[in-house]
Amino acid sequence: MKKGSFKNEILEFLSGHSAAVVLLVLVFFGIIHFDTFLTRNNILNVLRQSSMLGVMSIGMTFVIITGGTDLSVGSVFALSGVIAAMFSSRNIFVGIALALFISALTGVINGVFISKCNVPPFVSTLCTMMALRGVVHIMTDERPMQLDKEAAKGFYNMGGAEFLGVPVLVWIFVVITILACLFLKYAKLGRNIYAVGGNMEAARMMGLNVDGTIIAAYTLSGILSGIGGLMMCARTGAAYPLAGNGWEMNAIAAVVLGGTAMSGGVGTAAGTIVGTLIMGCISNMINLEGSLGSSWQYIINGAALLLAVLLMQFQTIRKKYSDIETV
Amino acid sequence: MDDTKLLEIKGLTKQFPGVKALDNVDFTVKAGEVHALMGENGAGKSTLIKILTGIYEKDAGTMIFDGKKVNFQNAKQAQDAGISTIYQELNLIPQLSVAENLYLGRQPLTGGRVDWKKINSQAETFLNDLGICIDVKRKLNTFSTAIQQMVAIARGISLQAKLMIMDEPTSSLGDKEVEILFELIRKIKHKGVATVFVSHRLDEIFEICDTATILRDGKLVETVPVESLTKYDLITKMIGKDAGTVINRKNDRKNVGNKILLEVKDVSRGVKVRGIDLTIHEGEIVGLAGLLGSGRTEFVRALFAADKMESGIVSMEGKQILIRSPRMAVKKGIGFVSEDRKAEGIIPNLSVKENMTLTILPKVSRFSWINKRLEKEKVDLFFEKLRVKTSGYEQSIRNLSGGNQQKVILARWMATAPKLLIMDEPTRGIDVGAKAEIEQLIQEMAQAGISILLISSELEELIRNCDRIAVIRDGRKITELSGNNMTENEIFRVLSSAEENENTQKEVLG
Amino acid sequence: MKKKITVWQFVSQYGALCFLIALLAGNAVFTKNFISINIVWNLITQGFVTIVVSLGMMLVISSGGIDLSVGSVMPVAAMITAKNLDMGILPAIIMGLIAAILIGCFNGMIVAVFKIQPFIVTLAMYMAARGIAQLTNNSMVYNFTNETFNSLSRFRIAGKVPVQILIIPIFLIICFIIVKKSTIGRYIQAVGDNREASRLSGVNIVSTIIFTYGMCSALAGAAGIFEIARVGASDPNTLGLHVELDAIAAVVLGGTPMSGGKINLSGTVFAAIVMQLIVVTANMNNISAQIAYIVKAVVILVAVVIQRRESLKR
Repeated sequence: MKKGSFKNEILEFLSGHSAAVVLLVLVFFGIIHFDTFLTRNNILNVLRQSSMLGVMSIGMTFVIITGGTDLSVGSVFALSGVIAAMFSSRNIFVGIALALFISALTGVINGVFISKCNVPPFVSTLCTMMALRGVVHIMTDERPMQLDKEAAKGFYNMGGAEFLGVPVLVWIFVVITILACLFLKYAKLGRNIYAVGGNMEAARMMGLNVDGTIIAAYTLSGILSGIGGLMMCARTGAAYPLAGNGWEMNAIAAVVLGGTAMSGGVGTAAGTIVGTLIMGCISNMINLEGSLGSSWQYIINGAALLLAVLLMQFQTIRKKYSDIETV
Repeated sequence: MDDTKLLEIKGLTKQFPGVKALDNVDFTVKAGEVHALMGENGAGKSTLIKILTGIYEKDAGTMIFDGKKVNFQNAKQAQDAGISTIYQELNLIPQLSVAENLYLGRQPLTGGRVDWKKINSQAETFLNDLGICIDVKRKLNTFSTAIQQMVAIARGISLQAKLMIMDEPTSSLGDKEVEILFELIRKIKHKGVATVFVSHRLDEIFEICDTATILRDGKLVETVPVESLTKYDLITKMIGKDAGTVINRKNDRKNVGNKILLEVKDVSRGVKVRGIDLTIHEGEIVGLAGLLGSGRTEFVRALFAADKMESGIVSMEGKQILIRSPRMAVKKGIGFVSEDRKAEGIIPNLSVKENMTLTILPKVSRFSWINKRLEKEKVDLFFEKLRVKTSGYEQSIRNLSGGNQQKVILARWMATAPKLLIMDEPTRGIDVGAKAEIEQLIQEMAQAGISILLISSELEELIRNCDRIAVIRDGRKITELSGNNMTENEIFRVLSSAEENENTQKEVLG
Repeated sequence: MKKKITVWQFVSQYGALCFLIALLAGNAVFTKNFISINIVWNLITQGFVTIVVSLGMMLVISSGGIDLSVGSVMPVAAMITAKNLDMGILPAIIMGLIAAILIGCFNGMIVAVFKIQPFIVTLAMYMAARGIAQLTNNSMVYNFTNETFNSLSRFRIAGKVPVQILIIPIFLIICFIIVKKSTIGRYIQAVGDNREASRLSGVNIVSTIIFTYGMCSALAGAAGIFEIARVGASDPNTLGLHVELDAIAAVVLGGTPMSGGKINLSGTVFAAIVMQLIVVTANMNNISAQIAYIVKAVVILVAVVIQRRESLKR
């Protein structure tokens, strides 16, 4: 009897943490297959690449837990970098503040349209995505906008600097993730996000400020995408009109891979990190392989996403039909 | 038990277009009382509750709650005043833990942070106090419906509710779970909380309730102490008008076939359908009588494969068959008119014509190309026969009256020339004229050789139309009545004695 | 019950057409050289892809779903056709279309049988199909010369009229037949409007949905094939990029509800033309294309807000 329940426990743990398992398998595979996988250089590379998408994905996590989607994150990402670059020669701090302000404002606009005007999240964020991307193209005149590396020396250096051997960008990602985890677990607003996503009507009945929660979720998503854009600008020294293009899809994929269901009510920031790292590892390994090329990246990402949701679906079906405990 | 009146409603009236849902109803609940609110569908129970909790606006009458005159504008206001409602659809968050559900919106904070230790320990203490001993850290959806309901009740209590309204709380519960629920109700009664218990399960009413208010057709029949009633009394008050009148039978058809069309044995599904046998002959109209929640709808849905039949053997025209989906059922010649016209019947934004021909498109088309002329012919034929009133075939079905909508749905099924048509409350929410027409159509269909399986909560309707009536209670068929036995009295008798028999069984089996 | 038509109702039914007329009128007055036949030709040749893909998207949205992969299906079909032109134009086109249909049916199957949300399924396919398209030619542009094939999109009747003027109506007729004259069109709309009632009426939900997504991808594939015929080369990296946005916008603006249900065919077509007209208007008035893009976004948002207000009232 004991043996059986132990096996069950392991299966339970595995299926509940399938994303982490997948990541471990990937890493294991990477270590075996590539000599250079486990080198300091490579690991830092993966982390650095993942950090910007990761920050964006954390923001996306909040939105998806409420049961929505934020397609505007890529455009906010780009716009934020552009604003920072624009103000870099005068006062980088103003630039950063303005960039974050606009990012937050976008989130507020989305949140209001979605909660008060009843516009489906997909449509609202699609429109803000389009509008902001257009603004970015206009402001950059379709060319990369250079960061004034002299005037904004500190900002630019931060993009390449390391602290205790780890890139500052990665630290930012780590800190934000920790904050997000704490927020989701210990802040009333964080818990409200889960409630609204789990059963919106019930949340309303329980007296929660549903509209406010939704607006907050999208605002956070906007701010975090904005931070990501600043990170990109600091790292590359320029703001590109096509920055973040298509990243919204990657962010959604990272969140879903990490175990957050699009139906809402469940999910963790930690899971999203795992999802982001999975995508980062895949990207890295494809690069290391050399012969494959980025097309395989797309294919594998797509296939991984599909597998992940199919797995989650089977899990849900299994849970439904398993014995529900009675007291 | 306190004698203070917690809730006093006088002269409550509510009119909807075409029907008076509540007509001058008085309703009084004392503190600490468990008060049953009873009546069949359309009696006005849910309207009363919805007005009380602010979902509907009353037309006339006064409501005094806890000494103050009230007129709640929305559900939240009612909740804040101390009225907690437990519906079938849970107003909790299934993905969150039990403890969190209890304290959502008012979590104890320590240093600005949500204090999980406190939430979990307070929740555990609180629930233990009420007799619920569960792991409060587990997600709500890992527990059974019964436990989930109890957590909902517990939250209401923790919000200082003075009045608990429970809408059919036991309909998906097993016996053991019902007992746990009742223990909880007794506990809160002890604390002075009043409960309004909406139900039609007689044995439960007798077990847990102090007072019963019976509504019928929007009017107050009576408010009595439960102990002064017998089950027979209760049933007659709920569904009988005058048990003595003779009902004019409509079924003077001659060719009620002797050939068996459908034979089902031991059909079961969950707790709602517990092994029902039924035989239907060609051209026969079989009725299913029973109180609300007896499992009739679940039974016929399982027959039609709208829901999965967990066990049971189905034979059609002598051959055993397995119906795996509504599509297969339709292919075999079975049709199904659902009781929820709005959610499962009409395709709201499609036209009247498109709604009707949905089931027969292959018949009026060739290689998927719809023959508009043929289609129109069919629509002409059936709409005329059923006297459907519509301003045009392209009109959106949502603009039709309930009666006409139902006729379109009927036409949809009649056009398939089925062998068996299952009709679940086909005349509900329909004006008198249309009702009569539909009953006439039922007779005509049977005359033409179509078998009908008819569910209705109006006994007279069943007796008028059916050749045979099966009495269903709690998922089981108690008996069948036909001929001279088919009277309201007999049905009441069967229903109330069934309760007795089951209770005796319970005592014997322990 | 008498049907009262409010302003909102009218707008959501005929909004796209009204907008189109208003835009045309505005242009006629304010834009120099607007009333010239070239504008019409322009609209038709450049709006071709949007119109055709929107028709497919319209079917999917009507069934209650969405297809984000259309922009990646285009290059898949296009590349397969381009690389097999030497086998003959017709066989090459058929191969491309079959590939597209297979992708669509796969999408439909996952949605209908495994009951995964269409957004995620087609998002995954959006990524994977793009990769597959790129793989066919190592992410490089594939140039080809095949006069006959090119003429499919480049031919001008009497030297002036673009051949698309004949081709678009063909697609319109196909869709018209599907939506208005065929059984499957009814089933699609019924399933999108009330899935449960359709199920209980015996409609085959699975085959309906598979057909819908298959058809949508087929149309996207066809659009891709015509596009490379016009351009003379197939770029697997950029072909079809962002086309799903325009298509969804056209469907939503055109009056087909995002939640599924009654198809507004003419609305979709008018809205697709409006999308293109916005770009043309910007072009002709020396307004940057980016501003046109922004205007599109605003128009869509406003249209949906109006639509939602109307549907909430019912």
